[in-house]
Amino acid sequence: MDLTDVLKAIINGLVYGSVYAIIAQGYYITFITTKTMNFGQGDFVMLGSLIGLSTFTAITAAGMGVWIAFIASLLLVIVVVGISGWALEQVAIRPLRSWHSIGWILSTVAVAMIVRNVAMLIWGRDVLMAPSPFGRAILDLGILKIRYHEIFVLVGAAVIMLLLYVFLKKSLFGKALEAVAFNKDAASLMGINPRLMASIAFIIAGTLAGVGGVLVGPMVHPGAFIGLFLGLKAFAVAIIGGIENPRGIFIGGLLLGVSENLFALYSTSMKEAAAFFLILVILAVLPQGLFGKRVKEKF
Amino acid sequence: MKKSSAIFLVGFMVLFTILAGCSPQVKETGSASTSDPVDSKGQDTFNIGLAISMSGGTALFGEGVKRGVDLAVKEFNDAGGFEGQQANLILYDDEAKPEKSIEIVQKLINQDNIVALVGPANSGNAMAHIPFVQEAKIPEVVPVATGTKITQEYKDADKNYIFRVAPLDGVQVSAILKELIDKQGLTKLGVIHDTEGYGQGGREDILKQMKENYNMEPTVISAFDPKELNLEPSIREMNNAGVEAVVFYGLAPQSAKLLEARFNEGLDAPIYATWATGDPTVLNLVGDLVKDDLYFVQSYTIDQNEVAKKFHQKVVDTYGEDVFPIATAQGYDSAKLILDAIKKVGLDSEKIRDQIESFTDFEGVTAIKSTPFTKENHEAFGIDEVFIATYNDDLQIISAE
Repeated sequence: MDLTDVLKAIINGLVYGSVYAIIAQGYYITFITTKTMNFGQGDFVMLGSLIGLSTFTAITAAGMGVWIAFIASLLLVIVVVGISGWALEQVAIRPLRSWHSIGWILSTVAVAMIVRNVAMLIWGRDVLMAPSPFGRAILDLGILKIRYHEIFVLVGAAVIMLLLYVFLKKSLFGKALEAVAFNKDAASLMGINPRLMASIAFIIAGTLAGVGGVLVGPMVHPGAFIGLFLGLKAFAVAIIGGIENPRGIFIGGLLLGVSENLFALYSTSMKEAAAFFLILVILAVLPQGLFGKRVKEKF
Repeated sequence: MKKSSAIFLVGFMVLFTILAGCSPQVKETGSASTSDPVDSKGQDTFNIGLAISMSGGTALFGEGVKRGVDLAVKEFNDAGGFEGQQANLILYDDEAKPEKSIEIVQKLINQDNIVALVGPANSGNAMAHIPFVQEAKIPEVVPVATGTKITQEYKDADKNYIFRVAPLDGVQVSAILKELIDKQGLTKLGVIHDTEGYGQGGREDILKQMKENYNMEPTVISAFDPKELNLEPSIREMNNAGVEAVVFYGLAPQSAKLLEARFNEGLDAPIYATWATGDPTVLNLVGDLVKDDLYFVQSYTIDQNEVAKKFHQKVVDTYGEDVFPIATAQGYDSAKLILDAIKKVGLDSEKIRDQIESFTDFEGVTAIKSTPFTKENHEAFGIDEVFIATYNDDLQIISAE
């Protein structure tokens, strides 16, 4: 193995890691506002990539440009998966939360199953080909080759992360979300509607999943079953980074992506096991995640 | 608020129930579900079973085989059937699941009173249901599943009821190694395989045959999880080891990923793969990436001889297109073995089996011989019947020779 391999593995890792991170932000945003999350986040990603791919193909087949097709598919995905996020909150989170139960874990998984099965009815069980607006074009830097789409994903993910961060930390709305997370009752006394905030959190989470799906589609062959895999990776990222820290999640995503690709240099078959072994080690040493707040509880 | 969300929940469940209800129904042919057993064994028809996946990962194989079997049955009936009795094909979908396969095969045997069976596409399904077929003394011809053990299971029984018209794994590996080592004289071979049943089995076959027949070992072996999104590391491993050829053992979706990774990374060696890589799914997924330096094992190509050309034309005339030429051809030959045997010996299942085993004048459309089987050998394709094929510039599969 030479330096080029390591370099290529790191770049690959950053590309996939940034997709994991986008998806994982969805866990973060709903967790801080409602202390719940969508365990079917991965299936929303799948939904995003399949809707994106169908729209993209339909529009390009109608003879319009790839960028029009890409932007249209992105917008449609944001709307559809965003609405799905809202519907999920209405159906699987809100009715159960009043019972102070953890039933939402099962109910979100149930919705995920339904989404997966409906996707199977629409798109079939086989994997599909998702075209990228860049086609198959490759940037050849001599020592290494990288797909333009991968560069696009890397840049796109960074921009999304930045926007999200500014939105959450700087805007009034973001502060309202955080206020609900901090103290729901006090927030509602201040005129913030916690129910509305919860709904919005799930819409944002759904949107993030959808955008993640559109970005990841051309790098994988999307099919009804890819959700489980991506959702699990993103969940791992959220835990590694510390679920209440969006910066930590971003770094955690890149870390998981890079480390699993570096492990793959030794053995492609051990890649998964090694990456999850890393997670176990991190959790054993830092149970709150790499960047989570260290809260000492006294009993 | 609570009430409205309860209504929402109910509404959602109703919607889901409706959606579940409109799941794609496979058109199952035959009169099995409506008529009682006595009827279906009436004077003018007899039943042939087809148990194969019309949904699931191997659905395209199932569709291909179904067309071939349909054609064979139609020709048989058009030619007057057996003493005026027409063949009636009963098709059930095994959904690529072993447990479903057992269920439908039992149904075919017990309710539909089939005289012979064609199926399945998945090796796991075959292994699951053959005990019932063997016990009921119904001859079965396997048109797709390639697991080596399927025809070996009852090798030592008094009569083995399981036959196959598909290139089994061991034979495919032999064909690839013969091409690379005997013919081209290569010494540095790399192996890429998936870590599930298909790839693991292939890896064992490759290692065993290389060791026993050539006293060699692969230069490098790269295994990958079938769910893996990116096969570029495997390609790089091959490039770094400087192999002269790559032997790939994986199913269609992984083949597509391999070809994309090859496109992104560049590979200095040709890829040799099993017939799974010749699955049209691969072509649909990656388009013209299948061109150049990709070879795979086949038992039938539409241009291999006049018979094959005519058969392909017939499929196109009947169905408009040939979705999976090799599966249709193997399905056709599988059904034709049974129907030709019926023409000779009548409708007794045991006699049909004996006849299939002892044909000396069989004419098929694949590379099948006129004497396809013997008591010891229930495989229609040996090393001499399969060959290496590739895609031409028009993206058609042609023989590589």
